[in-house]
Amino acid sequence: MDDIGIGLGGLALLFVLIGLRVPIGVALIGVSFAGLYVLLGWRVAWGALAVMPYQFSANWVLSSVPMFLLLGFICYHAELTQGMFRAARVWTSALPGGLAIAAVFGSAGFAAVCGSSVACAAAMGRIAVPEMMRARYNAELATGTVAVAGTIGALIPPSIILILYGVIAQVSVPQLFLGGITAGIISAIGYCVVILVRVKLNPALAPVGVRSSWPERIGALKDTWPILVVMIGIFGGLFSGAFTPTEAGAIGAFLSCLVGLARRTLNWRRFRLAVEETMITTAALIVIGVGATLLTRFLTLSGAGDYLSDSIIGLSANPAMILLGIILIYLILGMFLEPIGAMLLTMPIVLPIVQDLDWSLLWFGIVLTKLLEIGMVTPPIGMNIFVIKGVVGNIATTTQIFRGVMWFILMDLIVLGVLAIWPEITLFLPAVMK
Amino acid sequence: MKFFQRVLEPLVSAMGLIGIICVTLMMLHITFDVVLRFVFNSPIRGTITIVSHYYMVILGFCSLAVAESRDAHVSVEVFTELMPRNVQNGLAAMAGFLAAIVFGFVTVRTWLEAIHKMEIGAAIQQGSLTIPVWPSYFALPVGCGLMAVTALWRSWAISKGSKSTFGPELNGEISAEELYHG
Repeated sequence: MDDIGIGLGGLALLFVLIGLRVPIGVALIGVSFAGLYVLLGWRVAWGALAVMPYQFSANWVLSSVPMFLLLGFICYHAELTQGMFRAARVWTSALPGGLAIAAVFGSAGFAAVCGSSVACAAAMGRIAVPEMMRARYNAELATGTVAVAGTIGALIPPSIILILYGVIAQVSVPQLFLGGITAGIISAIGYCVVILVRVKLNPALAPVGVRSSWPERIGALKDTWPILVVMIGIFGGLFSGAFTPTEAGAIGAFLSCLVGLARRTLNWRRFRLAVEETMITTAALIVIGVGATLLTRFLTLSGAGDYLSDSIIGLSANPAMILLGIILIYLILGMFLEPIGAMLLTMPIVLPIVQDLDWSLLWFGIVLTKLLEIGMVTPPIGMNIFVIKGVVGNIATTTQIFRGVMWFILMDLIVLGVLAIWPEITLFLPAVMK
Repeated sequence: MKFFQRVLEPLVSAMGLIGIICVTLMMLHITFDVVLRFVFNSPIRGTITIVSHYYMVILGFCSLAVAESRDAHVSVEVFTELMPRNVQNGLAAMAGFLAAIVFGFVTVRTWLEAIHKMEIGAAIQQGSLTIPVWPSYFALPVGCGLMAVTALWRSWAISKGSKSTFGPELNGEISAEELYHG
């Protein structure tokens, strides 16, 4: 077997192992190590295993991951997010489907302190779904809305996916964050449009609520200060260039602790829970990250990476067709794999294509994140759906939640198309703030 | 085997404690560095090196076994869920065994590397400051070793059909594994 054959064989074995429920990180490290051994002998394989784990993890940019995770978990456990939904609810009370629209805005607000879409969905699901059920909203609409609105969490900064993408593709994380803001806001607006249209077509989905008065509206804003303090602390520093992402994360986490203590919603038990979740999540990410860097080396040295990238580029002379192909592949992958695994697994093959075609790595990172987030709500594996199901209990079945999400997925595809066809939209903010 | 678990659990808890200390220190250290930098114009020297080479490395690798003990490492269940119960268990036990072998290799390799770094006294130059970093290399074999042993224990427990995770229950809170995705 020639080198490329070994590389492709390794990839096939990798997918089989992952399909058989071997942890993704273990499969990546094991297959890459064995592959390097078969390909170039003991010395190279043994050498790679010595260097890669330390080199990947001892990284200043990567150390922003635990800090942003901690920030999100503390905000979640210390309930700093509830005011956001209440304020949004009062302000959108006059609109058809006002509570659902409030859930979208609440998610977008929480997204500004939380880097993960599942955490975002869980937080909003717990607050907004019971409110919507009390107001006799349709269960599919209520649960579908919070499941899909959670995906804004990974687009609006901070975002764990964007940090990992930045580390591996060597793109500035603050620039990626700026690109994510636009994509996140467009997505949020898109979801609101879907809710408005659905409720207009079928008013029974969401009975009209009581209109809030202006004093109520102003009063509700007072409860949003915890998030605003933390948000201004992070983004003021990050986008003015005063802080690095790691510093922004640490300061955000510290501020959220202070706010939590001041509001007496943070105690030792909750702090410890947030920290434990931070470390477990970081460890799980590092194993996959180390495995992915080993896989990159294996695919490069075997030539299989280039072979696959070249074959994909060779399929069509039209870059738009190639982009369409990439989008389709990720939509399919997203149905089965969780997003970070899917991203790290495919980057050694996809990044060279992006570079060969002279696409902007920044823009591609945002499109990729949007794609991976659609994967969070598509059947059969949609992490956000499962989390919402866990939160709401018997209010809706998993199938009902998937049905509720379908409408939003249509909008997601439109947003995706807009982002893909006009890169200027994504690149505008990063260019202005440079 | 009960004895094995009695030895393993406190070790994993100890790792968890180290991880908690690392995360907390990391947050405080960076925050104070920034405050001192802006208010007194005198940052804590060597912060970047200490954060990335100590906190990050120790936190990441010491938490491996904790994650394994809660079955929080990411895997794909969609295909195996369709299989009969006993096949699923067989596969899960095999996956644990494979994890033990892979991390066994990583443990040995990173141990040799750590010894090597100690012998040459590996250090990082940050500005005019030289910070020794070789001690942090030992976090890898320690963390990976415990991960391998934990995976082995879990593989055995699964094949026996007994409880294969330990650690505090999250009392209905969303588990970390679920929370991190995306």
